[in-house]
Amino acid sequence: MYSNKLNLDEFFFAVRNQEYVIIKITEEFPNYYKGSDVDVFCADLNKFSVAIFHIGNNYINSSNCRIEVANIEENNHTHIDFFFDDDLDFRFDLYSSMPKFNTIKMKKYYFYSVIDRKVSFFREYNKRKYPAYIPSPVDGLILRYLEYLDWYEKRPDKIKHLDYILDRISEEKLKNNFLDRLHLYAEFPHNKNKDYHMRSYIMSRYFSLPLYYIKKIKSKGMFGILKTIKKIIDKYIIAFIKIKMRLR
Amino acid sequence: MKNKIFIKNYRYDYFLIWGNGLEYKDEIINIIRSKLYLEILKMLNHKPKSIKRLVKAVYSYDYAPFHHLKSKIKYLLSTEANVIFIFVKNNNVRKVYSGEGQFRHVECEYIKSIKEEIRNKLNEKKEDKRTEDHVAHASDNESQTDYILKYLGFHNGVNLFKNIPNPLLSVPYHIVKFDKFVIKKVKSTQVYCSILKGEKGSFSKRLFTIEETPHFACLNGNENKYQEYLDKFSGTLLQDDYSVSKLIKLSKYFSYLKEPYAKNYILTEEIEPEKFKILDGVNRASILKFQGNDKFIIAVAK
Repeated sequence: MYSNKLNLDEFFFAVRNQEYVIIKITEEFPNYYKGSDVDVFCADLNKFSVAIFHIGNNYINSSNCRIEVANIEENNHTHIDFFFDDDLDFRFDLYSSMPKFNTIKMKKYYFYSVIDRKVSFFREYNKRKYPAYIPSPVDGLILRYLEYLDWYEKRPDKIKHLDYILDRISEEKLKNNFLDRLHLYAEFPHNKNKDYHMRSYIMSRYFSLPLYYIKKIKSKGMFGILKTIKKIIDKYIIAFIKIKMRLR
Repeated sequence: MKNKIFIKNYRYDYFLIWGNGLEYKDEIINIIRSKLYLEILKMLNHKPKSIKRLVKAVYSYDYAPFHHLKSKIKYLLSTEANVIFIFVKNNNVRKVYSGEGQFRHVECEYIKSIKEEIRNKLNEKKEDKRTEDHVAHASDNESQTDYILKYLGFHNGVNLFKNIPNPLLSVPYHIVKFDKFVIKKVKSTQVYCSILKGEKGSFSKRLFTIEETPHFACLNGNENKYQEYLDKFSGTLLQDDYSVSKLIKLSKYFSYLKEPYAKNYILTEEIEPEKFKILDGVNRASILKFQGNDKFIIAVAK
């Protein structure tokens, strides 16, 4: 049975002039079950949140409702949770940049590209039509695919995303677009040269030594100099042997 | 926001009321307060060990070499070693070139016009002409503000004002950062205000209900109580911009959490179960109570 304690149309009507997309919108929308959530990519997370709070205040005033807010990942991801009688009823899961996936990294501007290519569908609130936004069909499939890649090992039920993609990707044009955009925005890790690592290690470890000892000599005065010089020579002999062994 | 293109059109400036301008303190603050694009962030009384040292610090970052300024600022050495710094967010940065030759420098036309307005009005006059014994000084650029803040012991300089405790709420820079908060409705009797008691030298902070605060008393017609409170602690323990007239003006047009103040929740922390201490918003809470609200919405920092 649906919860529907919140009228989601009321919230999305309030943000009708903002740049956002609802990710993985369900067929039941705006109906929802208790404890469910909606993922939203927002161009301006602060502005979007304020609109949610503004509507949320009416619920707080009229019922036993509270809103819990948590900023995650350096304020790039925010949970706005609506509780009724101490039970989590609904979560707005808001992103202001690309979510981090464990198995694949997407270029950061893909986030803006998804918002830029949004498509609208019309809903009605208070007898007024308003546009709500979802990703383009290709981006919708890519985002489901990314979630599938990230979760299929831990949660086998995520296979539903792959089934969904396979159902819709039969059309040749959509398939090509899907692959083109996925390859354009997927980021592959840069394989750094091993030698480069070795050189930078040697430079940072031993090149700073002369400066360090100049400082020491200055602070110890004349009497400590001989002792220090002996120490320096010893250290450099050890360092030289170490470098030789590493380069071998 | 990391990925956004953001064009900064503000900066942090300061005004300084010299010892010879202290008698016009309220007038100067009112001039600054009345400016649409200035937001007072911090007011600080400062008693330097010697006025000479302070003068040197103020002018050490000036565009002109100190020896050129010596004659200009000679009068300051005979003034009282007691000054007031007013740090502002300047939302109308209009940079222009000023001066000639080696004194050519960039300054903000807006700040300069306010500085001149104060000087024209309040500098001592001789034969109907303004003397150059200035009652106030203002910064030419943000690096001067940064330097003075560091001189006063705020090691972060202007970064002090860049602290955003939580980007989703409108709260002052001096609140400690927090990532979680709850928005809920509470009874006014559950909300407590931290009020200063005692004298400047030996003070303590105590919790009072909203009705017991000088702010509420002011709204109830006892303006003197709030004025005395401000006179005692303003510029030392209270460094935000508070005034009786500001509170009364706010109470007349106050509409809690309505645009453009939708993010201005009364911010609290839970000190005991269901007992909340206000971190920011004693004025707003007092007005709400004064308006007859026995319950209102607050944000509780976690």
